[in-house]
Amino acid sequence: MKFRNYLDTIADIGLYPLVSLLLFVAFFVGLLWYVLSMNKKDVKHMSNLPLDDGTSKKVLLTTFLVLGSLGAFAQEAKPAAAGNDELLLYIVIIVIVFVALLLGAILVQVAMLVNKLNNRVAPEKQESALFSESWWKKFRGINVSLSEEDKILIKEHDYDGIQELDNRMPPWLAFLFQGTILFSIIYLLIYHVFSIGDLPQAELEKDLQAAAVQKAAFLEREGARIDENSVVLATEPADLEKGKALFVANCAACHAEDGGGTVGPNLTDSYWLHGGSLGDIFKVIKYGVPEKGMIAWEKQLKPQEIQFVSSYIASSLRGTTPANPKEAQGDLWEDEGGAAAPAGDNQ
Amino acid sequence: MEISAKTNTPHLTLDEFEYDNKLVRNFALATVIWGGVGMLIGVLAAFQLVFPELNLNLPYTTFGRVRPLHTNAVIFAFVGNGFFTGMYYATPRVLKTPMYSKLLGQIHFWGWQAIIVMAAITLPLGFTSGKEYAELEWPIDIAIAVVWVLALVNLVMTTIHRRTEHIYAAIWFFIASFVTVALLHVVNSIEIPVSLTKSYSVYAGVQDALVQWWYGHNAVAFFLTTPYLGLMYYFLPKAANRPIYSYRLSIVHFWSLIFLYIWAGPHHLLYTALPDWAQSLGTVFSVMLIAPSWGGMINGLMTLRGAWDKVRDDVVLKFMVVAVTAYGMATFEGPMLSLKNVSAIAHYTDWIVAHVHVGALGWNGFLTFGILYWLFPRLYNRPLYSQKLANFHFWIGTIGILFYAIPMYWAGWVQSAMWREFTADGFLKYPNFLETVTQLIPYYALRGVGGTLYLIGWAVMIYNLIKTAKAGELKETEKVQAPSLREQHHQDEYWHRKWFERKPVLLTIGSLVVVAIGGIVEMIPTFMINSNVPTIESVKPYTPLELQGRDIYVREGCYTCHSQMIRPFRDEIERYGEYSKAGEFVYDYPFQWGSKRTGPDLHRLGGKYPDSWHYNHMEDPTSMSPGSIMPAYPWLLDDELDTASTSKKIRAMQILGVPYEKGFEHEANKDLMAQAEGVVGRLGDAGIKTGPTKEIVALIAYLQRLGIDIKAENNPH
Repeated sequence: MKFRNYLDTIADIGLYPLVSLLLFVAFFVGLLWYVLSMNKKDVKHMSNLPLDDGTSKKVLLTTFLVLGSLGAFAQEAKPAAAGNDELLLYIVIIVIVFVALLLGAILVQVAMLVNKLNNRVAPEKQESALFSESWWKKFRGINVSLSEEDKILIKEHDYDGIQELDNRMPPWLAFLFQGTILFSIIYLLIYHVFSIGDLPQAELEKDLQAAAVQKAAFLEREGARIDENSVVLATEPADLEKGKALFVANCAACHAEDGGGTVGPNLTDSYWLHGGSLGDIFKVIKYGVPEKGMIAWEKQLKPQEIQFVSSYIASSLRGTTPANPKEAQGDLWEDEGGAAAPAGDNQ
Repeated sequence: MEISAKTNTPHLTLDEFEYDNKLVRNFALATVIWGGVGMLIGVLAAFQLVFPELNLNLPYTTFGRVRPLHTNAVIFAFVGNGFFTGMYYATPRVLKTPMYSKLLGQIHFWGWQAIIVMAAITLPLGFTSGKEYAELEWPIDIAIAVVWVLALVNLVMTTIHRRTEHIYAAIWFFIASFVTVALLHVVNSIEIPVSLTKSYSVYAGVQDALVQWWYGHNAVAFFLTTPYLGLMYYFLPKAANRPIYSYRLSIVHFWSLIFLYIWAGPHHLLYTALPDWAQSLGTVFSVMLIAPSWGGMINGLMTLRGAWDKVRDDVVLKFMVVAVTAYGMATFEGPMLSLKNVSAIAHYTDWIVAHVHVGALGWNGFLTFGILYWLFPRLYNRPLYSQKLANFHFWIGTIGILFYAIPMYWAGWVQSAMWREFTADGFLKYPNFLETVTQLIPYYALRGVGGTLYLIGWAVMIYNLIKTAKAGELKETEKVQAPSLREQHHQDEYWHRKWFERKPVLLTIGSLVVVAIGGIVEMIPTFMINSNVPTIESVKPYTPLELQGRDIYVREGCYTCHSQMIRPFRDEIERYGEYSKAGEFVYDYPFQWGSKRTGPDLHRLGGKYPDSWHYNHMEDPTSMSPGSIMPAYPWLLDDELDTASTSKKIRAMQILGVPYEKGFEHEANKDLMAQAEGVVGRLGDAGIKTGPTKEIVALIAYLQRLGIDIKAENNPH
């Protein structure tokens, strides 16, 4: 995600959450101070406000909705923590949008509440409010009250007793429809007329470039990369143990767990199809021999892991006697020292 | 027609006629029975992913054949019969006339059940055209078309012979559904038969994908959505005893819905080899669908305004409210999934499975249940046997949906995240695909539990309905009286009322025209303009052996779990190889891109493993991939390949335009044997003895061919 990358580039980004936390704390401290310092008459007046028309109930309900939905989203966010930042970002954005919408709804209702309180003093002001209750009802498409429904009942529509009302399409739905049409026009303009947006191939290229830069930077930090020319035999028992574990997990299916070979050749004898030096073995594991069915592992194993596996094969596995050895394949291989392989392997 | 005129008063002539309840009851029984079968198979399929042994090592019960059986059963048998139940009850009543022809009604009923039985027999046998939700082979396709059109004729003729001046909204939805499904089914099912049980789609590759998902998406729209909206427009106001919220809204949302829906198919193919412009059309038309879809939900929920106190007590309304709400959720989620960055995450994962089941279990299932609970007391003339049991059904069904959907959403997100995660040094964090599958097994188990709960609710419903029926007696016919229709002329009638609500034929043609536009605009350029599918020189037709192997791949339903479409993403290129190009699929009749990756993508499988690996893997997948949940296919090792069909298949391919040399069909088996001996030789080198005419040999040849042609292009010899 580009957005996240931008965030990463901001220096000392960790400071920002702290700042917002401070703001929050300041707000609540202020609120507490205000409540504590309120005079008792005001408190009494407020608690005796007659809000029996359901408005306060609605505000409370929406608030609960907000809290409830936050809880639900908090749970949904968990799997993302398992790994993918991008997904997490999406969820966070969705949560933020959702919360913003709900906060908007609360604000509107609070505004209505305040409006109503004011109206108790000055009822003639009601019509001038921006989001009056009647506006809100109209927006939701329920401006005709149930008792007046007869006025919009279409008399001549009667199908097996089913009648129809002449309500207009709820304005919010109409706006939504118009909005999506506008979105669609802009979308097509962006991608296919002005070519501002990236189509899949362009997206991929950018993604690969970004990945290459990242990888290069990482390798820069981690030192030179091990390859078939630079590889040296790992001798630490712990490393060979890792090599063995990798071998059992990935190679045993075709070469048998003891290296005796099944689908793939025997790795314990001294005959090698593609050379038996450590570098040769490293190379075969890394690039594979596709025409013979050996797959390339360079995308699945890290260079160091290939080093461990090839060291395990070259130093621990070679020369052992497996349970069901496959017949020898390839050429006899002798290492630089000229020492011939144990004769017993040559069967 | 038994209509007799009777004079009640000197001024008013009343016709006396009958509504046929028996047909309605029969369709209701079929709904209940097939629904149970379909859901039971679904539960089996769900648990096969947890316990692969449940595939039973039999060809007929492996997941690849069970899954199409499940989808076909619930869509066409359960929801189809549910639609017809409600339609044959509502139509005569809102039009004040019996159905036009009793015979056509009978043909519809028995014809449809016969088609379902044929499907239930042929799908496990492996007779499939290999296109999702359109798997049935050509003789059944023809039967469907005939029965469908006859039912449409019956519906339109009934509408013409009505005793109401105007046609109610429910009927608009019924007619549009019938017209559009007929169009979709016929266009998508054009096939060249090779034998009675085998045919090839006439479309290949990208074009086949476009046609198939134009069909597939609109099967959802016009088989699962608009028919049920029609039912909602009748049964919801009846059950709530409230007028429809807005007549105008029903007009706007009806026409906008059917016009926009038909365009949205390509959203199933985002980031595939489909041309970019078609993908974008799929996206924007899906987004524009939110409001028209929600129009239906609003008209349903707002109709309940003033009746919400009834919802608390009336189980029928409870079912309907959840159904309409599930519809609203699914139709919001759909457009969101059509945004390409969301699709990138969700496609191929269980998120989609969750999405469709919210629609199927919530919208279709619960609306059907609500209608059945409302209908049975009226058909049998006594109150429902037990409100308590119905309430139990409601709650266990709702919990079942939650148990189904939540784990599947979770599984989709987890798997997608695992696929895409890289380590800092540029490696896939989970290079072994299997790791991302075994991770999901607990979620699959929970999903199975959810399905089981839903099924228990269904069983309780059956008991309740049987008890209700037994205590009462079926009112086979219902006598009614109504004045015959006199042409009245209203000068200042609203245009929609004057034209579409008075003229059923115009309504039928109008909806056909409206739905045809989107399909034509998307398909014709893809077929006519070559640049939409750039050719790749090195892509050659399949050899006879590979073609036979491909047919085995299709027969076993491999596409239900494996895609053959690598999207242009960094992780997919890293995992599978070069992303898939449109030109690579020109000889794929039918395309096999798939829509779900329970297993890895197979498009670049060729040459990745030795022949012997495939042999062992098909015999027992866990031998090569410990922990795999793929079924075993031991019969492929024993069964003989049907080489007698080779020349006919090559001939069919030639007719479709595949450039085999003239007369090659006679040489084909020689070529096949030569290639098979090669495979047998390589297997022999690895110590495996088999004959060249075993099915496994052909399948291996096909798998080894997958996705390698393009490599020849990159490094010419």
